Amino acid sequence: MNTGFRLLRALVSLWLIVTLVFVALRATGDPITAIFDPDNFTAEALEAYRRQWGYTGTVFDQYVVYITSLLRGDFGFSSMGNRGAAAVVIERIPATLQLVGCSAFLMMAIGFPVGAYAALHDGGRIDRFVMTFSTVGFAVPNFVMGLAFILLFSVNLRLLPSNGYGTWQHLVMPVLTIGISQSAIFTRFVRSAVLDARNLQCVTSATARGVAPWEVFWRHVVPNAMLPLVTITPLLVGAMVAASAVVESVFGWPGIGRLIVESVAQRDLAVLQMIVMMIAAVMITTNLVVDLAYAQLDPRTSRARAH
Amino acid sequence: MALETEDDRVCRVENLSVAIDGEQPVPLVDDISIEIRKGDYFALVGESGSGKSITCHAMMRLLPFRPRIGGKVIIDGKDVWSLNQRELLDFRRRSVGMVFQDPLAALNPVRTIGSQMLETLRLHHPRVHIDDLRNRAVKALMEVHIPEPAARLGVYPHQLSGGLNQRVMIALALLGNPRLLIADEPTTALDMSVQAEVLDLIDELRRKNDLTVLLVTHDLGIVRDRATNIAVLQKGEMVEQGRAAEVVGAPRAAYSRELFEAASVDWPTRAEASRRTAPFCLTFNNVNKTYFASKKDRKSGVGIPAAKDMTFSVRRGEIVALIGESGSGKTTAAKMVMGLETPDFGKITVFRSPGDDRRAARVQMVFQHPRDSLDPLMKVEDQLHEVLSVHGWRDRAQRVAHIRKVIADVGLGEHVLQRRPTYLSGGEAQRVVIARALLLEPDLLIADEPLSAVDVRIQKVILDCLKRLRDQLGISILLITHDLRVVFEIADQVVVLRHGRVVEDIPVHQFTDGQRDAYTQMLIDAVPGKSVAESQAELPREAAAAADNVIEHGSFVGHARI
Repeated sequence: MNTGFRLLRALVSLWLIVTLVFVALRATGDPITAIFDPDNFTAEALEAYRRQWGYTGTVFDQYVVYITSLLRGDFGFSSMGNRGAAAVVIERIPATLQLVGCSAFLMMAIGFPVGAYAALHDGGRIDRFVMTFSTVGFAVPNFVMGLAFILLFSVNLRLLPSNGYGTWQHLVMPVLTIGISQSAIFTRFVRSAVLDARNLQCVTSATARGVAPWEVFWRHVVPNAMLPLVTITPLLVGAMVAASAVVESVFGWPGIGRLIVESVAQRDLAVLQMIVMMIAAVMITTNLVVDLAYAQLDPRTSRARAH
Repeated sequence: MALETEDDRVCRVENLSVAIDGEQPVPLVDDISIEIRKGDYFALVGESGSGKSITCHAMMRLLPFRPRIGGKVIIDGKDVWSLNQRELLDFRRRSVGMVFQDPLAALNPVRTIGSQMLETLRLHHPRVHIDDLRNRAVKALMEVHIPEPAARLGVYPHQLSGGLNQRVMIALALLGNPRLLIADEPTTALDMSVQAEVLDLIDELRRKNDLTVLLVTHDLGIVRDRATNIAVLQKGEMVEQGRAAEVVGAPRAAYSRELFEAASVDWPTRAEASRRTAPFCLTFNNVNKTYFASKKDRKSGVGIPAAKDMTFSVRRGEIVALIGESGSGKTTAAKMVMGLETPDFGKITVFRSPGDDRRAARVQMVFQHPRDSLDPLMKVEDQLHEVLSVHGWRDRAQRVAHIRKVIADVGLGEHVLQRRPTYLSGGEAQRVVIARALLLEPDLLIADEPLSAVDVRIQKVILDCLKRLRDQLGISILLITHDLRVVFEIADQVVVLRHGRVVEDIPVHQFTDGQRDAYTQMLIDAVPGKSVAESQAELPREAAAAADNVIEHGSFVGHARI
């Protein structure tokens, strides 16, 4: 499959998602009457809001207007921010990037060494401990873990602020919450990937040739273990965005996740559509990058034969 | 003098026992003692599960579990199990080279051949310049007769054929000039003619480099005219050991006698009445089928021909063997009969026996791996009932009676009906698969490599079973195999395929008359285990020479020993 085709496919998936979200949001009722109590507003006032936010005409008319303005780069008007939806969303991006980036780093910083260690000492005491702990880790809901951290660090120890954004102290607890819960899953993936790679015959044969254990690990086990790990990356990115919706609400973190919750509550459809579109774009791009990276990492996937 | 005899022994295994360590150790091999002298070609023979692989992995300290070891392994003057980590690395680098069964798995799939060779060379020559190492790598590949060695360094293992990969593996194992080469089933995963090439290569290297070889195999055929010593293992114990000539000539243990009998090649001298007059059961008429790797290839017509003007027939009550190497189109032919693939053009006809108006499938298939083709969680009886139920046998009593009859036809007792496939032996499982195919009373049975996943002794049982089906029930069998020994044993007619073409379609007794196509002759030559006298008697030298001319570059055939 060539790159052009992949790109086209990515665009089609993006369009499908945008359309689905549009339909789903319109199907849940008139947004104007959900925001304003029709008993307290005159019909003219409601109509004025409708025009301002682009909710006039049939659903299909609205869809056509929506798509054409999207193509012009106009993402609609936020009802709760009283300005362009794009501006509302974009100003939240840095906070979320900071949170997800640090969490991803923490996830890998825990997952790679712990998972690899557990796999290399499989069946040992530490391996069993890690396995048990990771089950607990992903069984505990994020908000419970977040609240437990607040109780411990803010209420009892009074070390960290429970809420807000700005300093590194604010960052610690949300990152711990997402990072630890994701690393519980990631550690398992790393462990099973390393375990599978370690049992490959090529590892035995390298050992038989007298390659030193750490070289066997870095040159034979790791390259083979990376393949399944690369494949699950988009899944983990998605899981982190989902986790950020809850965690940002718990810690009052002004990121995209909390914006989703707010805009759903306020029925700010323009903002919601923009966020979903953005997340979809991120996911699709990640998948694309992973597809291309996989072809680089695993020579078997490219079709050409040398002879 | 005493010193010299000490030096002479490259490898001594003294009362070796291996068990999986734990509260209740699981014993795997017990009390194995062997002695390999310099220049020996030592064959360790046994069926799967006999502990031969465990033994040779224990000699390298490569066991995949935490073992409990008894006895001693002394190789190249070193007591292997008492070495520390550093000494162990040194031992593995210098004293022993090891070759594995599946070369594709034994090479790292995500790294090039060159990078793996350079990595190993770097261990031996840490301070040498990279260009010099590359030259050494090229030279090592040349030693094992790999064509265009320099170009292969940048290639990944999946881009090479199995035979070439095994050569690379051998080159890798010999980079450190080891005193002992351990080859663990080095040819089992390869095609018959490639097997012979690899074994010849090991022979050649052994002579040239003064190498001592320990060959582990289940196939007595490939060792009896090469090995100098043979040891036979059964269920983790040594049942026989001695000079090859003595063991082959007069095996003492009952088990090794049995093994040798099963592995012996019966050159077809049978003069049975030809079945070529019986009515047709299956015909192929100019069948063509081409596979394309991509749409682009399809447009430009560059494809892999799996069938090219394929024409042959199977008659009633006849066993037709379809032979050829992997990629010759055997399996495609079977799939087309079953309707799993459609021919591009040409006609395949399955004939009805007279008076038969059933609509049920008249062709049934038996697959290579019996355990994979049975549901591991379902009782045998239930699996057999299922087949009949979906074909409309409503009456349970009738089904039971039919199942009993078929189970008896394949020579099994009724006790297997109550078992799950995990509790069946390999031979029982394959016969259950055959029984399942027979339930619908097919006219034609297609057996795709039914013997290659089972041990030598069990092969015999299944062959007898197939023979009985032909002789007593009059079933036609299309037998797909790469093993000529099987063909000689039971086939009536032989069809040889190469690149999708029928090269040969003859009765089996004409097969070895020396008048055959060069490719066929090469296949015959590659049969392991035929003794020198036999091959001289049956192969005129001209035919052998003719075969030489068609061998593609990079291959060479085993005439050296004739």
